[in-house]
Amino acid sequence: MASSSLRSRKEPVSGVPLPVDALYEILLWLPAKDLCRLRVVCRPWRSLLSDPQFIAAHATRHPRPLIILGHDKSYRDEGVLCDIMDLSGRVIKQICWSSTEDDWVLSTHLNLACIAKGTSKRCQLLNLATEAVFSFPEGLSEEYAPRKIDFSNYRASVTLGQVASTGEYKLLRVIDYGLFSNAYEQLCEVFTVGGSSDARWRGKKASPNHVDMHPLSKVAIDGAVYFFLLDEVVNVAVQDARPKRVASFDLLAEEWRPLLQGPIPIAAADYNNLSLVALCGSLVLAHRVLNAKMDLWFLMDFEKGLWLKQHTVQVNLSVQRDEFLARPLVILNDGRVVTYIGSRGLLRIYNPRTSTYTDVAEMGTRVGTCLYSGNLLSLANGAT
Amino acid sequence: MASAGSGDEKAAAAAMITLISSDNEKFEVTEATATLSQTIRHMIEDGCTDGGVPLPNVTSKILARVIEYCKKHATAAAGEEGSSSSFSDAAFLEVDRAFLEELEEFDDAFLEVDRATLFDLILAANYLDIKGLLNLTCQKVADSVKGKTPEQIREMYNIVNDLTPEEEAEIRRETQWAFE
Repeated sequence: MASSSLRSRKEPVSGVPLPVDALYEILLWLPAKDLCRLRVVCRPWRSLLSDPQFIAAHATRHPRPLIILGHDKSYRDEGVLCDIMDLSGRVIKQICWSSTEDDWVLSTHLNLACIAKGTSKRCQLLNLATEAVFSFPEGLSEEYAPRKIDFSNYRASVTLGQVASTGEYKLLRVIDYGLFSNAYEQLCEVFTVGGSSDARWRGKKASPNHVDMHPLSKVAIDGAVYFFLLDEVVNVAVQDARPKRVASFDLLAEEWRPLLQGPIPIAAADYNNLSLVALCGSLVLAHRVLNAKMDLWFLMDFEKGLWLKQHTVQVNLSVQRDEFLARPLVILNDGRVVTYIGSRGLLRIYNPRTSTYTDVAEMGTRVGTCLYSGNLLSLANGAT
Repeated sequence: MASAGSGDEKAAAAAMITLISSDNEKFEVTEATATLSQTIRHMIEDGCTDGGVPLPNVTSKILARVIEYCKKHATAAAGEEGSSSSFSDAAFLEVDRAFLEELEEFDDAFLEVDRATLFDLILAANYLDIKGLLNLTCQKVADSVKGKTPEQIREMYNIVNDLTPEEEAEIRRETQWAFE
């Protein structure tokens, strides 16, 4: 075909301006990564693409939720901290991270992630949208400093939460020591994010009952951080079933609240089949029964200690090992439950109505997998 | 008033609306076709369509294309109404599927226009508030923007970059991941 005829049939390369009135509607169809890039096209595009209303509209248009998958501990990709993936298994964003330490995601809330710097005793706050980083001061709080204890012998459990009434972000840190001695003790510290420049870890009264520091035994939701109580090892021989008890720390008042009783009596031997998660804005106790099903108990009323079993998921996992167990991440609008199956890095979506499931992705051993409820179009001036 | 989906051809034919383009050309369409536009639907509800509906923002060339789209999709809407009735056997569903495929082919062919026409269609769909047509045309443009660099976009659409180099550098720094 003659090139001249081809050219004459083709429209000119430039010259047709985009209709400004419809720009909003057109750009809404593009993925977040394209839009972040197109902010540099010109000033009007920058304003439109940074407009909170546009950002909110974009979030409703595009498939959500997104899942954060921490990096693979055994085959660590150089310089990758985590992937942000949609439910079709597509990686929307990869967070690259140069560090000499073995870092991992500890806890997330909206756009913010708390990152452990080789140890959970040293951490940084990362904005997953803008990748701005804030480092927390090292060491113990002033309140605990006079004890002159060697921090290097400690473990820390760090949870990021948000005060419901003020929108303030706070970090709760539970520290324990005396693991190999009789004098086991837990300490408790709080850090307010985005406060004054001299913000510091502040020592608080520890929970009167020791809390379980395992990552699956605690969760932050609605202005509080919930923990399972640590099992009384002495009573292992006792066969009576008792409800698992839950401690909670109020992030606004910065104090421990009265204990909460779990929904049903459970044999102590079965306690490691329980986990605490946040689903649909509620505290949920997930109870795996004989690896065949998982009951999801929703806390309906804290004061009355009222729980309601709202979902039962058939899981049928043949391997009886902690890390193979399913952990619910989010419940979709149609009732399907997105779960993460630990050691295989398997993202599996269960449909409780049909008792079927779909596997989205198998990503190997990942550390710190959780729901991403932020928005990738967000800018530095807003934490959400 | 009888709806166009009732099957009563006379009642449907009786409810005709006249649309008048910016260059004063008149188009006679059924109410079922016209009400795909929310703008016109509201005008009909308010009873102000006697003597025709003037559309000063839409040329006859574009209005003809918009009506072509609405006619096809109004039939589709009527078909959907039918399928929710007592007909639900496999044969009927088969027909339904074939029709949806045909509709998809129609949409693909409909979008085979030059860029200026596509933009005019977007503006008309926006003004007339025709959700389906707006989504269809906007998605087409979005597909052509996807994966392009800011430089390519500026060239494609004749956009002058009015950001200072400092401002541009700051945006790039803030969302560096998007440029990798």
